[in-house]
Amino acid sequence: MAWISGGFVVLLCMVAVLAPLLLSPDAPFQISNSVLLAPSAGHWFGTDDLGRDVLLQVIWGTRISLIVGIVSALAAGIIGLVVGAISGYCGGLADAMIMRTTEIFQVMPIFVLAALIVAMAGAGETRIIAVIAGLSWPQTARVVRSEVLRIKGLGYAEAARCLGISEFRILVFEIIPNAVGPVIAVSTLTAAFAILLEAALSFFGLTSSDTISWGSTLSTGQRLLYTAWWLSVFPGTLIFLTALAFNMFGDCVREALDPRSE
Amino acid sequence: MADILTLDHLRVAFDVQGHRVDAVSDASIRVPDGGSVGLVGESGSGKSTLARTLMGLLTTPPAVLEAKSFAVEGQSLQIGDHAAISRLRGNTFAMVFQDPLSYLNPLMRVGRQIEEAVRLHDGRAAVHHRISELLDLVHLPQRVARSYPHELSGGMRQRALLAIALACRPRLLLADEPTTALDVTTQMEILALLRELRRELGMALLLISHDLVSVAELCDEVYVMYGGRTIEHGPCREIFRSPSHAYTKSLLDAARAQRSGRKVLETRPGALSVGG
Repeated sequence: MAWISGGFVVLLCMVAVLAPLLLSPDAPFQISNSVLLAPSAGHWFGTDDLGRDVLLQVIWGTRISLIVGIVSALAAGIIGLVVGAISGYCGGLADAMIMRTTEIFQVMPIFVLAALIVAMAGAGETRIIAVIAGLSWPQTARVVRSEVLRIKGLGYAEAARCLGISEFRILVFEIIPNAVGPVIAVSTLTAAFAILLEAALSFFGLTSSDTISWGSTLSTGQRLLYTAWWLSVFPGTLIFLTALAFNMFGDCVREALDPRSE
Repeated sequence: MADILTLDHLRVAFDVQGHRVDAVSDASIRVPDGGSVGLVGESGSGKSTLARTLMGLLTTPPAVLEAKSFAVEGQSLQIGDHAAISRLRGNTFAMVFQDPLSYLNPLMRVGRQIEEAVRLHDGRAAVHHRISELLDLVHLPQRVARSYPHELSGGMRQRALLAIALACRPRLLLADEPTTALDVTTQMEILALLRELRRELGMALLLISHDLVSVAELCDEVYVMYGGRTIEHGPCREIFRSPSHAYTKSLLDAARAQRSGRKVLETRPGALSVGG
């Protein structure tokens, strides 16, 4: 499982990095007379209604989907880790205020809000990343907080205190490393969710027309589902597989980081 | 001999939903420099609370600390003064605990954990030498430095915990039931090790235990705690031979009865006061 999911994530990253180097930037936008061709030796994934190669579009779209997924998960994870650790370790008023704030965030429907912001402020992956990270860190923060609360009462935190190790070092070296497991699990879910959200926003046409992502290809395919299945099936399958691979890969990373699981 | 620790009339209470509950109501203890003192008593008698107070591990509030006098190495201190007590941690007081597995960081190799403690006091250059010295001191093979806590046996974990506690060369080692979680043969090994360390390092020991045998083996003096009070103290030999307090008598009887295989134990009327 580790090798399959990890291999898939690595493959996607390589595609995302190599695509702009190997392909000319307008290759996926190249229109031709061969419209709506079924998958064949010349066009593995077929062509769309403007005669553009679907394989090239999917390759090109990998970059956006991955960047959105990984960057927003990283950002949400880091913000959540810091805020959650402060909340759990300090306790008291700071804790109460941070937790009430996260509750406000958690009742907000992310998709509607993201759609609203992108529709009003204009499309762009930076905005999508900011919206996803800005709205999904509270989940991580809550998980981290509960872990920190649990660990700070455990023996080894107390033992470190008995040695005269400073509170800050205890938090950074004893508590947070032991709280990272669940954070990774949540972050991979966020990554998968971000990829899906980006796809959904593109699907609704909330992207600029000069960016190609899996979601925008899927959106074109939706109108032609009965005549050209390949337009929907290939990007759809990739979205599905990527979200799945992220989840599985996260599980494996968490397990690999824990010396107890052998 | 000067005292490394004197504590008179300690009271530790907890504010629980408006009620004040005494965990330790009146405890006095004195540990001579380089001496070994046992603290015995049943569960809930306040032994561990006393130790945790000394290490400054109780958070105030909810804990409320009072003591008539508290002195470390002859220097008088406030019992509630966290800053002063935290300066004592490591190099004056160190502590080992009942359940060594939960007191070791599961994600860090044992060597790293010892190193962290050593770094607090020694320079970077001497660290590796000191780690192997500490491992030798507690009779652990050098390879243990590269092991994770879950890969060690119970006795080895307790030795590792001891090595960490000794890293800063404490003057007084508080051992809170260090052998309770171990099997009988390992218990004896750890007790022998504690005795040896005390002799080699000239360090004082406060052994908290409900096991009278280990206290008799290791300590010169013993304090008996009951219901949050230190009710009796004196040289080990005297207390065990001619206890003056009724509770101490029944405690000793219970221990003897257990060994002679008597089925019915003497019980004492009354219960621990709860709710103060």
